[in-house]
Amino acid sequence: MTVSATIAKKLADDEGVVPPKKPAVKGARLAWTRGFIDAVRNPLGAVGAAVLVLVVLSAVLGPVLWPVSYSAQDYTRLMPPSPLNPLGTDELGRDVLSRLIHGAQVSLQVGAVSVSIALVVGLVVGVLAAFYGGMLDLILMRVTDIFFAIPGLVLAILISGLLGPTRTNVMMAIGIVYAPTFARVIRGAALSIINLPYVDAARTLGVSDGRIMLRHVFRNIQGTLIVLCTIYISGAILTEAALSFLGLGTQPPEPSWGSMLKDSMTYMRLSPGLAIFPGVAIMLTILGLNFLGDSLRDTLDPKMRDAH
Amino acid sequence: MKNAAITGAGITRRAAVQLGGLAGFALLMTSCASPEAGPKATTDSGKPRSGGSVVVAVSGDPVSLAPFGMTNITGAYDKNLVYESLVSWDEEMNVIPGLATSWEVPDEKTYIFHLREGVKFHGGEELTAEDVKYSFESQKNPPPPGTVTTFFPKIERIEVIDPLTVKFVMGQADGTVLGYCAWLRYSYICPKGMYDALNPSNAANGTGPFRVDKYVPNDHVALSKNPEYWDKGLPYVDAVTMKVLAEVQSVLTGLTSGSVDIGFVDADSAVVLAGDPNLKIEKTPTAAFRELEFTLRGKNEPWADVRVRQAINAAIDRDVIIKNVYAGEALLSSKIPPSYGDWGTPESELRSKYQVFDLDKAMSLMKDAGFEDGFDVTLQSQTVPDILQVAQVLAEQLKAINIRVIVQPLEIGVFGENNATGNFDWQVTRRGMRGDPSQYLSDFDPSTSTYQSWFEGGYANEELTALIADGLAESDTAKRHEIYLKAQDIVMTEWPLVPLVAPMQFQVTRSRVQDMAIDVDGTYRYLPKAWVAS
Amino acid sequence: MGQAIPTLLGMTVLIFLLVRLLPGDVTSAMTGAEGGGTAEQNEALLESLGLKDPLPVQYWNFLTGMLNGDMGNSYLSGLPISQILGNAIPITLEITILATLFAVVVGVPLGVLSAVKRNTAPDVGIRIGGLFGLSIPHFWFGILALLLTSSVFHWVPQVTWIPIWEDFGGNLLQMALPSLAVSLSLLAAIMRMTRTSLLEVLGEDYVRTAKAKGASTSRVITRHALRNALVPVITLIGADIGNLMGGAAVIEVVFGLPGVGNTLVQATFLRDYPIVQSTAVFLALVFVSLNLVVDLLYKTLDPRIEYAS
Repeated sequence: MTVSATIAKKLADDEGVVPPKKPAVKGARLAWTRGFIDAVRNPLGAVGAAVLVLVVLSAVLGPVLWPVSYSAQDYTRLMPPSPLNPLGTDELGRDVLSRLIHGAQVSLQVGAVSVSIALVVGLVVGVLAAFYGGMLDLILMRVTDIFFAIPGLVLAILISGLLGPTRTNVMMAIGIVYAPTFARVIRGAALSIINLPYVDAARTLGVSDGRIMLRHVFRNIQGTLIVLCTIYISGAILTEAALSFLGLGTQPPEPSWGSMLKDSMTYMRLSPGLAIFPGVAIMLTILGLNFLGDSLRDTLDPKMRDAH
Repeated sequence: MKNAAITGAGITRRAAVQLGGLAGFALLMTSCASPEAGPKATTDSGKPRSGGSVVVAVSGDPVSLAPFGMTNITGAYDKNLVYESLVSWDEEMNVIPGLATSWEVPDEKTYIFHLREGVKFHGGEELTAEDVKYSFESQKNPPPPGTVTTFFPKIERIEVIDPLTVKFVMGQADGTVLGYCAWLRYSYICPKGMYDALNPSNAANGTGPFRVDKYVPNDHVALSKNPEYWDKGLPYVDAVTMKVLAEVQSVLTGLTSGSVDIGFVDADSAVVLAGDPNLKIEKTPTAAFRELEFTLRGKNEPWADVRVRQAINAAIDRDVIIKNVYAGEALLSSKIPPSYGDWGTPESELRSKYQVFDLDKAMSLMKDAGFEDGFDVTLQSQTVPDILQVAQVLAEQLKAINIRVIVQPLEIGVFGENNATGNFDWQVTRRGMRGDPSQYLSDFDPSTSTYQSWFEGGYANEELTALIADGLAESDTAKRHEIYLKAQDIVMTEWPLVPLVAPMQFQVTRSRVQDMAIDVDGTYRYLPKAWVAS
Repeated sequence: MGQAIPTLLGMTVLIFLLVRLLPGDVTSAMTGAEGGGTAEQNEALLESLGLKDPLPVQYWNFLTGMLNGDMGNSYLSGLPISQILGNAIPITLEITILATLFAVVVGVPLGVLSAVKRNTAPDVGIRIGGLFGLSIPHFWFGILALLLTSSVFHWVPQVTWIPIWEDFGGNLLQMALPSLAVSLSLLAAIMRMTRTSLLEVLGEDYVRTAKAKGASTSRVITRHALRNALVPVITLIGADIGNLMGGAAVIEVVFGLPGVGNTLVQATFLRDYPIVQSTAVFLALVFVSLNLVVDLLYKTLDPRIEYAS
């Protein structure tokens, strides 16, 4: 997890409540998209968004624009960048650029899926806990406490190491590690909305819980969620890289930025590029997400803005 | 590196003299009182001097120092310096006396060893035949955490004749005894009852030139000179730190900066170190050739058809493996590796006849077998980097004949278990050193657990089985040569396993370290004879 | 605080269960690549290690063992885990402490500089540097540092760990790079945090009043602003402890240091249950305790109390 993410969690812990930016009114659906655009207007946000778009495009269009197989061992090994292989070749004579592109796909997939898992679990747990309170809330929060007690990477190592090192297990492990934080934050946000007088009134009047959840709670926490997701996707990408580096993540011959770094260590002196390019890729992606996340936080969520 | 040609028992005096002419061991009928192995005259600068300490890089944590039935080589680095066996190998792999000064083989089922007098264990006990009996019985049935291995010779029982004489009664003729002992790995000798006296996983009581001072898991083992060592004058150095350095870069930087004195590196790293004036680099082929293994259990595997296996062999371009994984520093290998004296099929034949890369032939063989469209298969691999690379090269090359290989890297624990139980379709791994060439063919010996796990119900070749039995019983070296060449010919025609290549290993020493001979087994067993110049 | 106990207990159950869920068992790690035990031998081995007892019994033994300080022995090396951890803890502890110290000692002044020289070149440079620091994967930084020092300076940190009480200088030299790598993200965060809170405070009325009364800027800074920045910085450190510990684990692997994290990773690979359990529980315990400490500090240093004086 990045530092910002842990701040978010800490705040959720302390305050338990995140007040909404605006009351639930008709224009709320556009609130976060407007916030998004504002964020991108800011130079930092613009750069961040641009970098991200670049990464996503590479992942999506890369194989089309550079149709070289990432596993074909057709080239001379350990070559520096050349017109034939713009980023050189690795120890088995494979093209580094195509492996980097595939690594982008892996990272983005892991980032998206693991955060989605965390989001879905967090939504279910958080909203249920907020709505039904009482014993359910107590139990759910106790369980999340238990997960919080274990440092994130340690838990990820335990889960993926013990389940077996595959990309799927890594996504699950990261999702499980992040779910408690999402649950906490969402619960806090949901609680604050539920306690608003008019929502309370609606409930008394018999409006169904489901409707309230959908109409009011979700709409108002969208901003918070967006920021959380941005922060945590970068954390997920970093965690996946660290796990692959340890040998617990994506397995060969499939390249991931982390495993490429691991393999590069043996050949570092013969071909430094192997140790540099994947790291730069990770750094740029996280940089982009951080820039964008910062801007989004400024525009979408005042409480968290105060925190940094 | 010459090899010890181990023959069966019952050898005649004349044959022994003949043998003496070969690059072989001297298995004599009568007592052989050999001279004490004293300090060797050095070809390096100066005479050996005592004192000093060295830091040796090892690739992994020993995990346990228990002497019996432990198969991981990371333990052998330390144990080979702390424990000894009845005999040993010199730098040319000739069998030389160890804890036994002489031995007799009165008939093909009896070995009598005469023990060295006055040898003390690190704990102070004197070595007697009881200790040898205890040790060999424990080797046969290792107490936990050890496990039974297939290498133990067919010793039926061990008898103590007198405190310095021990007799092995064999269940059948078996010429592998001396090689098994010289190899050290499974034949260590401990004081009787040692497993009750201390925890063998983290403490040791041996007769070797070094004793264990401290074992810090995942970090290092601290060894110090055994002042009571029976080979007077040895070891030269006072202290050894066997430092665990799993990362190649750490070994490289350790060697260049001087914080590591001795280490093994791979070919690429040897290139990086080549110009360094402070380092000496020696290379030798390793006995641990890489191999692609199948299980053939009569389950209608696509590769049960011999043509498919022949196709696989023809589709593998071993030169690419040599070039890309080992930077050109590897040799073609038969079922008996090239470093094992001249027992392996000659390289010229491997290159021209057995291991020819021919995609067209491969494709047509697949067609004949009805597998033109190929099949899917999972290939288990160790996570050791170069083996994993070999797996990836294989996967890539076999695409050409439509075999879709999914590489499954496994940690040593799970990999080892699957290997032992035959719980795999395909595996790629490295084999290892053996005491006797027959042990390279034990995979096909129906009485071994390996055969039962891998081939029972699926592969049997009567001629091969007969050859294996003959080889064990035969005493004449030349005849054994023929037997094993024929056996390899069968293996490399039917390909129940596919030997790939034998990489070179590079031992790097800092210039202050003198006379550090390189061990074919990849351990540091000649360290006692090494000395430091400063 | 009372909440802590059930949480901790629950955490031990969680870890215990996680470890038991894993496929494969320790016998395979013990048999290595070429051997292998017979089924009976493996059963006997499992039996002797207590792995055949019913789960609740195993858990009870585990729990009471931990409370007694006897964490059992490693399956593979037989060494007592308390000894293994005892050797490993100082390393991880030192990395984490050095990293935190470094992050504060460098981060705060840089943050101050950045705030005071707001929007000038140094400020922009520091802020961009900060964002990079947040984004650079710590293990990559470690790799690059190794690459740099080994190929350019032909130097690499010592191979065998030098305890700090044996050789102060040598130890610091050895730990410098790993600690630096771990500290990066916290350093960047502290820098930014200091800058932000300083800027907020500098704009406050009472500060302007103080300056109008003639107090020098530096006095104002040290007296009021920094004290108020202290709270968020401590919050940051507290929040980041988890990251620091995780980061230390990976860095230990990069530099080959046998700290707690490295021990955990190796033990996970080797399926050495007792080490995995005990190490994970230990890390969690430390994590929870540090969080409690930070909470206490946070409450005692609450700015509202500050202002009131």
